[in-house]
Amino acid sequence: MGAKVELRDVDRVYGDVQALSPTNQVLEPGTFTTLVGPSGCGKSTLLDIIAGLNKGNGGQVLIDGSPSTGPRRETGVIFQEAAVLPWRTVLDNTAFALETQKVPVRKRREIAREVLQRVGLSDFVNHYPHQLSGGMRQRVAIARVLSTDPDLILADEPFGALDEQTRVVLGLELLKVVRQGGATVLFVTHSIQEAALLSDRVLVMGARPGKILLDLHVDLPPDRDPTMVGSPVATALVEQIWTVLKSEAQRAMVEQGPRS
Amino acid sequence: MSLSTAVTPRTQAGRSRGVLASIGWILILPAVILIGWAITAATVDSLVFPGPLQSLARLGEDLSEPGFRQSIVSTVTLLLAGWSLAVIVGTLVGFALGLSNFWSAVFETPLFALYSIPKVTLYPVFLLFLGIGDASRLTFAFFHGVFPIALLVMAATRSMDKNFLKLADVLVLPWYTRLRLILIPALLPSIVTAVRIAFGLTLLGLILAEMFSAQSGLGRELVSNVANVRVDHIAGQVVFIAILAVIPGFALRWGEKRITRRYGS
Ligand SMILES: Nc1ncnc2c1ncn2[C@@H]1O[C@H](COP(=O)(O)OP(=O)(O)OP(=O)(O)O)[C@@H](O)[C@H]1O
Ligand SMILES: [Mg+2]
Repeated sequence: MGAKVELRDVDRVYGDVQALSPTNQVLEPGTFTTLVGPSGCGKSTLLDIIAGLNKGNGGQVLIDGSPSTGPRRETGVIFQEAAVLPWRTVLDNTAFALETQKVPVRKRREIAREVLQRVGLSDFVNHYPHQLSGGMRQRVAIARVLSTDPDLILADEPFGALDEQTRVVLGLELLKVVRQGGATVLFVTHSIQEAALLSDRVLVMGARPGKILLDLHVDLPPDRDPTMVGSPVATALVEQIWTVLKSEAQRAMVEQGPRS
Repeated sequence: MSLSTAVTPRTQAGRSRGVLASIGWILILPAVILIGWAITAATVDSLVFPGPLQSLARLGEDLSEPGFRQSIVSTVTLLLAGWSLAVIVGTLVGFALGLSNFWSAVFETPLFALYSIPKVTLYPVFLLFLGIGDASRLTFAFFHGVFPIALLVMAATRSMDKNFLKLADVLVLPWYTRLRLILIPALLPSIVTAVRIAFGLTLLGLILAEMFSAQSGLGRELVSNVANVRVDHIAGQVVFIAILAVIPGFALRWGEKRITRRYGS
């Protein structure tokens, strides 16, 4: 079952930059939430605080009611660049997290094979990362995250380096597999379409100070397919997000104007 | 690195044929040198330019002398000791400095400066502090090998993919697991390169030190032959030292290639 994440007044300041204003949010168990916003608005900062990688300055992160003190094993994190180890095969990369949790070889390989099948990499178990495409490497990283059956998945622009079609395909694959496991997901992306297509809920963030401006429910059926990008619900949502981000971008330009 | 080598398993026969072929190629250059040497010696026909056969005969004589054998043992022992010390200290220091941006920035320039000064000029200082003997030879040899190792390992540690470290963080790995499963494999290709480069430099430092001051050792044998103008002995011993340097050099290069293929990205 998914974890419940509660943010209570978490914030982060770097020097005199308010990267994240005090934020209060609740991510309900098993929901898929995306976070969109302009570059530098504090998305990674927020995600890293939830992951326990960044301490934040104040406030509290509660996961299933208990305060977070650092990274936890039940949280799966997917980075922008697939963090796969070049000296390990696809199978052993996938089994890596289980290996560090001392799961016996046969058991962890069995689990790894099973998740590799779910992400469509069954034919590549004995390949090395350099023999794969960027999208396939990212799927290996996703498989490793799924192998430990996390209750919370945090993904920071995991498909940012990929082309449009691959993003959509992989995003929907990810959605499908996390629905099976029931994990709570927070997914950071630059792409507004991606946000509308994949999630139950979209948080729109603005910059300086990093702040969540809009909290939108996505009224699409739980099983998604690529054609839904063109549906009236998605189009209206994309338009609504754009309006906010556009004025946000204009405001940022006005603010930065005198300096440059 | 090619795809086909990793994907298609090669047959045992094919592999050993490949090894034989590469040994064959390796032998071409020494053969050319030997023939060139023989021809030049025959043309010059002078006492101070011995041919390969004569030199090898002298080397044979030397090898039958207990004193010379003692020198070989002494040089090889000190070489292995100095080299191992350089590898251990250089790797640890380079790694520790590389982990911190601050300390690697602080030490990088001084280390480079020390690395690039001709260390022979410092030898008198070594003699002054350590005296004539094994201690100063060993230290001087170590001194030659340790800097390149520290610099290479430091650079490799600094430029390591930060995602590997982040991965270790999110998986909540204890430090020894982090070391064993992430840091060491990630740094292994650079470490073996450093080990190979340090081998040649340590040997250089050792022979140099022996030439200046030692009771035994191959460098010392060379110098005493110079004093007696025994050119044929010198040539034979130079061949011996070259073999001593080249064979481990090739073995290390081979190991390095394998490790890079396995662990490199
Ligand atoms: N380690 C740091 N030191 C100083 N400032 C930082 C640091 N990390 C982030 N910042 C600042 O905090 C703000 C938010 O950064 P963050 O990385 O969270 O943005 P982001 O929304 O993830 O951007 P992007 O979409 O480009 O990844 C930025 O203004 C950035 O300059
Ligand atoms: Mg970011």
